[in-house]
Amino acid sequence: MTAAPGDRAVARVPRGIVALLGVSFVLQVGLAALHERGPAAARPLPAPPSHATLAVLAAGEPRVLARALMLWLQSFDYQPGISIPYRELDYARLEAWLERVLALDPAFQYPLLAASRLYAEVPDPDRQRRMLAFVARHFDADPTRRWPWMAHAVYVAKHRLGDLRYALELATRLARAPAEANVPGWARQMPVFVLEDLGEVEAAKVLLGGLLDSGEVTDAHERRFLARRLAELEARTATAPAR
Amino acid sequence: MSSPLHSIARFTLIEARRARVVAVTLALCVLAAGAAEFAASLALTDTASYRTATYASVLRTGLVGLVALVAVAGVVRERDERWLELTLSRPVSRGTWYAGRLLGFAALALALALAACAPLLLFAPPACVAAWGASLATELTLVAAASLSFAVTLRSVTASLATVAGFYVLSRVMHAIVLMSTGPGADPSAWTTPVVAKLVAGLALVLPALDRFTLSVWLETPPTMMTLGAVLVQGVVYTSLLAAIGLFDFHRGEV
Repeated sequence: MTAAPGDRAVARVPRGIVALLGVSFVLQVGLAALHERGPAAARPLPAPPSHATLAVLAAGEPRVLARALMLWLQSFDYQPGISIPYRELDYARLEAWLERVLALDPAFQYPLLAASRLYAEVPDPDRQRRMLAFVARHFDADPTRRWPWMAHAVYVAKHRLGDLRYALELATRLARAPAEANVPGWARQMPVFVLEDLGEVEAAKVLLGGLLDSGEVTDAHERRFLARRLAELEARTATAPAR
Repeated sequence: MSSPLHSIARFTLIEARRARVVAVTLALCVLAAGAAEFAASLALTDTASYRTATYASVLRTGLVGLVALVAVAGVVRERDERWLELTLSRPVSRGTWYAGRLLGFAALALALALAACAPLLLFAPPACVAAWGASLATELTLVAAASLSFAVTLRSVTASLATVAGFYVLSRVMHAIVLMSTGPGADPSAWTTPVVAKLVAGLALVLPALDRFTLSVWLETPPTMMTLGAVLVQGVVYTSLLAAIGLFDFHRGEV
């Protein structure tokens, strides 16, 4: 309530108005507080609108809309008075929302980060696979920016899902990214370690040897580490009983 | 002979008619219907819900803007052209003028809500349309009360409209902001997080919960009486609060 020069004193305001102000303010605060403590009822994740509808709603600012949608989506599991476990979210709709956001701004990394590091952490193999498939599906379109999420997908497949074959498939795709994608050496080396865990030591040796001979690994410490690893693999095959 | 209160309310409606509110409302309905058909044509499934939801949301936003514009422009013009001074020189109290204006804007809000509901009767059940319309009328009245209060206080069309727009948008998104400020996305280690959360929660207490008003889903499934009742009560309480704020400033300020 502003007070400009020449305004009349507060005492000239009728008491009835002051009383109305006080009562209505108290009622408003009480109502708002009651609303916060109301019974919690989880709302299901709605289906996303079409790409075309979102393009219209973006009104020329798809990047802004993409960011706003990701904030909303990220907070969706946290509703008033209730926190929805991820395993109760409709992952088909969740994936569709992530697709829409990525379509609005292909350079936006948040959807892939959320898919690999947030929604793939749910202890539900089907939901995890859906998120990993989403990351893998979009990796080739922009490997330069998206390799971290693919690397994390390999980790989830290997250590959370326990599916080494799937981890190898993802790691191989990561390793085959074009050179200009600047995927770091340790990420390109992931197939070697997955093969090793699979017990396919010979294949791991071949891959590791090829990597060292290709000249791709230029860091001296890294070359020493990989060479030591190769030596360990060779020692294992030498001492392993013949099949 | 009608009382000053009713005369002022009637002149408010005449002023709205002269501001071509009827033509603009018809144009808004046509625009909303066009947008609804466009959205429905893009949808692969659930075309009926796309149609009604788009129509409802476009019209709701458009009518809120229209009411705010009519209220702010009318009050500021009346003050600037000194008609307010002339009115108050008669045996008409400030409270009567304010109440008359508010009553006129409330009647306008009701008329606009009825106009918005008419086409919806072709696509949605009457009970759903009635509930949605009642909530819309309440929301438009609340916006009119805010516009009147801000116009009386700020005395400028630009400042008043900007404040109404900010107030409306904030009231609609405040619930989501509260959730985000306390959700898993907030950094718990930062000292600013609890401070911001408290500020946001405090602000939410003094803003109306417009996110619960006039939901398009009501056009498919009508709200319970308790839900609708809560909306109407919120509308009455906050309109009273805005009226009290406006009256307080109006009695303090020189005309």
